[in-house]
Amino acid sequence: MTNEQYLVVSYLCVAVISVVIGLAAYLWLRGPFDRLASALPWRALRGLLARFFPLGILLPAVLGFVSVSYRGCNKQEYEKIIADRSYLVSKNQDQISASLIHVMWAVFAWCALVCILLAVKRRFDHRTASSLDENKQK
Amino acid sequence: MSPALVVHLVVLIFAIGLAILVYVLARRGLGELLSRTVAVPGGVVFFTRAFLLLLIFGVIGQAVTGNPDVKPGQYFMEYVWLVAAGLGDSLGYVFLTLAIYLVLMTILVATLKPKDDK
Repeated sequence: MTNEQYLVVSYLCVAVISVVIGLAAYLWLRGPFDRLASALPWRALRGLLARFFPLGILLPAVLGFVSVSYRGCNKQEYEKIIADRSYLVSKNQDQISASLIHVMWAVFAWCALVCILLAVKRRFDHRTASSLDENKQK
Repeated sequence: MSPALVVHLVVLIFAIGLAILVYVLARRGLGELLSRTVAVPGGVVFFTRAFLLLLIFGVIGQAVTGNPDVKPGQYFMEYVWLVAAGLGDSLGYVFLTLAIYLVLMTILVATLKPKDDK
């Protein structure tokens, strides 16, 4: 296999691996996230979260993959890039790593969002309970 | 199998083992804290699964990158140093994950105020 063929095949394979990484993370968290979202009292927000959650995990995985540049800072030419097989392999490693790290940050962001939502829900529940008490007293 | 691949595999195995060890050590306490704090269905499972995913993805993401400069016939300790360097980067990610996750849990506990269990 020539280096150019290797570049094409490895690029496509790593693209698929990046999507699989995102998909695996999404499937791993989907069940508990759906149950969490369904406990929220706001129906519109529930729908929005259900739609954005897969995107919010899959897109960072793909973003990590495409964020790795083969040309590098010194803008190498295509012929120089494909001349070195070890450089191509290291770029594949960087793509997988970037994909994993981007998904990691995305999961952190979703955890933070869930924390905020739970705090807002707690305040909402308190307000609803206190307004119900007032109505009973009247 | 090339020496660089051997170093990568050893780092990967040690890093994943380490991440699982950290998860196993923290799982029980984290589960108790979350079950007392988050009263929403799926909340405890979401945060514990996210914790495991963050640890595993962080260490693998760090372990697969880099290109260890190894040549056939090097001394054993030179391999050990390369593995240690790779593990050092992965440990950095474990530490970062723990730090950010602890901050998140602290915010969660501070805002949701679980019942005192004296």
